[in-house]
Amino acid sequence: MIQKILDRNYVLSSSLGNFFKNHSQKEKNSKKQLVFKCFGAILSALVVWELILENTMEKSPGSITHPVLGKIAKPGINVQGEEGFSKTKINDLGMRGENILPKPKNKYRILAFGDSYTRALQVADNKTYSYLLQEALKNKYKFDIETINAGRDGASPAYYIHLASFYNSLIEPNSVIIQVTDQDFTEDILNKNKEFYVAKDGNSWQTKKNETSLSDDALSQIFLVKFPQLRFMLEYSVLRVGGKNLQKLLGTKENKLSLPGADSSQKKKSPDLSRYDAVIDWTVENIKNKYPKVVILYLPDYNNVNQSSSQIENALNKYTAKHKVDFVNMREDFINYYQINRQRVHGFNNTVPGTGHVNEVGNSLTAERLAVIFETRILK
Amino acid sequence: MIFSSIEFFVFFVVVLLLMIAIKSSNIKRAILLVASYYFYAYWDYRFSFLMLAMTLVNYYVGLKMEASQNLKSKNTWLTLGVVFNLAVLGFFKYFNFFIDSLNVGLNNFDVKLPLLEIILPIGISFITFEVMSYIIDIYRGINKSAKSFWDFALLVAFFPHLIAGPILKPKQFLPEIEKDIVIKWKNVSYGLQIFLLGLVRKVIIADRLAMFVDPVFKSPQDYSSMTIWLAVIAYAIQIYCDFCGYTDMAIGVAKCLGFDVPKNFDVPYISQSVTEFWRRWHISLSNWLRDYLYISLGGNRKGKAKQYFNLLIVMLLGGLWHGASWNFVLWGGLHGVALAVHKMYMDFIGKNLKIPSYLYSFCTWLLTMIFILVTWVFFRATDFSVSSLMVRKMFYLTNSEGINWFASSLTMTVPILIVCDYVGSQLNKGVRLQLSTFRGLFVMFFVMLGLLFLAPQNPSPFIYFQF
Repeated sequence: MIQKILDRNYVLSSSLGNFFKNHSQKEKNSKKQLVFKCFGAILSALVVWELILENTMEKSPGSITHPVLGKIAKPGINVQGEEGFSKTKINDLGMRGENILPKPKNKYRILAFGDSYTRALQVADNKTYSYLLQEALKNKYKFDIETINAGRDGASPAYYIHLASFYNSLIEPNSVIIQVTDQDFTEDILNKNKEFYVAKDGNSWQTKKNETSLSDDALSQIFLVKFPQLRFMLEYSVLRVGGKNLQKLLGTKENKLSLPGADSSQKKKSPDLSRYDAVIDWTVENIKNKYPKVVILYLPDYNNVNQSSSQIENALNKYTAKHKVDFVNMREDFINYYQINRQRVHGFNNTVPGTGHVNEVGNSLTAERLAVIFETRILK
Repeated sequence: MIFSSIEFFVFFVVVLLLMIAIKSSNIKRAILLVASYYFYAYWDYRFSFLMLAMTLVNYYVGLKMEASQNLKSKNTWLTLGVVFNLAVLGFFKYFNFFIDSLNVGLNNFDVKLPLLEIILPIGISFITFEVMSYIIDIYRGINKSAKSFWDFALLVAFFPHLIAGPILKPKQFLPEIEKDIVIKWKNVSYGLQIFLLGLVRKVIIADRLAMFVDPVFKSPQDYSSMTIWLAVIAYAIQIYCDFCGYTDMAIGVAKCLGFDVPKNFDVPYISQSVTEFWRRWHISLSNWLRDYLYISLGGNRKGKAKQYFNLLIVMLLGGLWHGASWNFVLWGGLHGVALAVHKMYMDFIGKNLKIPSYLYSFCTWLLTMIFILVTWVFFRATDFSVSSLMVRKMFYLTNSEGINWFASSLTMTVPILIVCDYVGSQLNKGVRLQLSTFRGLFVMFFVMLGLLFLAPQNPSPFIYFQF
């Protein structure tokens, strides 16, 4: 029996050996050389892909931890959105655009807060609503107006409230736009996994900073938590893009890779509907108290643009009126534009029209509406 | 288990290693057969019983026909075999289609026949055509029955071509199975390159274009005429790369295992007539329809009029073979008419033409392409109302307004397609990378990594799996 097994193993190993041996003999290359060539070829291919990805389709540019702002996009690098084709530069504060200089005396500064809709990596620098608003007001009033795009992916009003003193002292805005979506209130503002969030404090609310928040990306989380000494590898596009795609290919669930002890169900759990009103009321009041001349801008996302007003929208309408804050709701403008021009305000040529982020058309419409508000209510 | 999945990669590596490790060809065939049934059962184990039943019946019919002394007995066995195969295909694929169509007629009488809950076995059309060609070849005396049941079972179930072809000719492929199976590095290296080419076509071109094509075909009323034209062009490229990509992968996998599977595509979109298109598109199906349907109907032996009619009938049935829908019938019918008209043109006008000018060649290509594109609308659209709306919008017969979506994926994938077709033609000519050199290895790893980096978020299933 043992002899049989040994014979069988011999046949098996000699067959495998012959298969590779024949090959190597024919090519007159030793196995060592072949392994070396393979290694060199893989490394060279990775280098070439790194160059290609960095310059064409990199989507996650890496981040640094700012002492006040928390995790921000790495300053000085060029980034590109997954949607659209524009590229933009990141400044020292992790915002899109050039570094912010001290404010000259006669300059009127408008600070635009918001999430990825305001950051708008999908459109060019001169197509964002913040830039278009600046140009519209400049042309109209002929004085020095500057808008600063402080949009930050995944941000909610908790960020702007928590960081108000930092932004006020550094940027000294004359007026502030706070862009919000439904998701800010239904998913983000109360989410304890976010870097800044709002928590119940007795009968009121309070913003808090989550010091342990690391990254939304599961692969980065693994590197940062389990192999912190290898975190430098996250600098490479091939690792980030390839890692994400490989995760997807292997069907790895985000939950499996989440931080140990993290309550993943909390992310998905919708807050109690009755809490919306109180949170929104508190948010509007706090924003008004912390910033000068606030305009709250509501952008319906592509999933609900054609639906009737959302609960969040109605609450925003109610509490902005209560606290006498200017409120701009883009729903009707978006719908009207589509009905007249048959063009969607969401989506790009490399995505599905009508889905994803607001495109150039949507940004332009938003700037037009904001310009009217600034002309009639704030600058007059 | 699809070729572009991790599961298949693991499955194939295991099979290949076993094939390398084992010396006996009989055991290798047995491994291939078991692997093929496992591959098929991976979708639904019940499918493998149906395939086994079809294999058993057709093998038995083949033996009986070969043993028959007289024509009458041969005819009887052939009829039994063909009826059995068509009954299986008809039941699983067309039963509900006919009931549905009947219900439309019976609607006036307030009668509604119930539909059956039938799962369509994957690749059933390909399997049916394969086993039918086996028994018809024996009947015609073109081929002999397989030396053993296991050889025939492997011919039917051979996993590289099982799901979406190419439809193998038993006369060509049985000898491949019956000979000694030797795994050679030369073949593995060549097969790997063809497989990678297919993967590029599928993952980088077809799946990316699907992201543009699917929404437009889903709601064409939302899109402008220009966008619909672009989506139809994109679909033409998508279906070519999807199907040709699958075929390349099948050929590559078979080659690694030491088998030669014939090519199924030959740069079809350079055709200057519909006749030429069908010589270049899904070659194994065109050959099957010609050999077993067109010739059986009389071919060109019963006069011109009958020949044109035969072309029409063959393509109508060819259309229906693709799927149980009137859209496919119309698609096939349009191709049948075009083939007949082209034949007529060649019979009466074309034969007098001297060497065609460049302008003439360009015009014939353009006309052919427009026809092919328009007919793809019927092939892809979910129902007749959608296809009709799209065609009307394409030709400005109705409101042409809508979203202008100049999908970037189309412009990005066309150059890749041209490179793929060039590489494909070079591989067919025998030019291949030397995977023992640095250059060869670099190109291979570059392509493999490219597949990882450029793969779209949502891969689409192979289009021809539904047939």
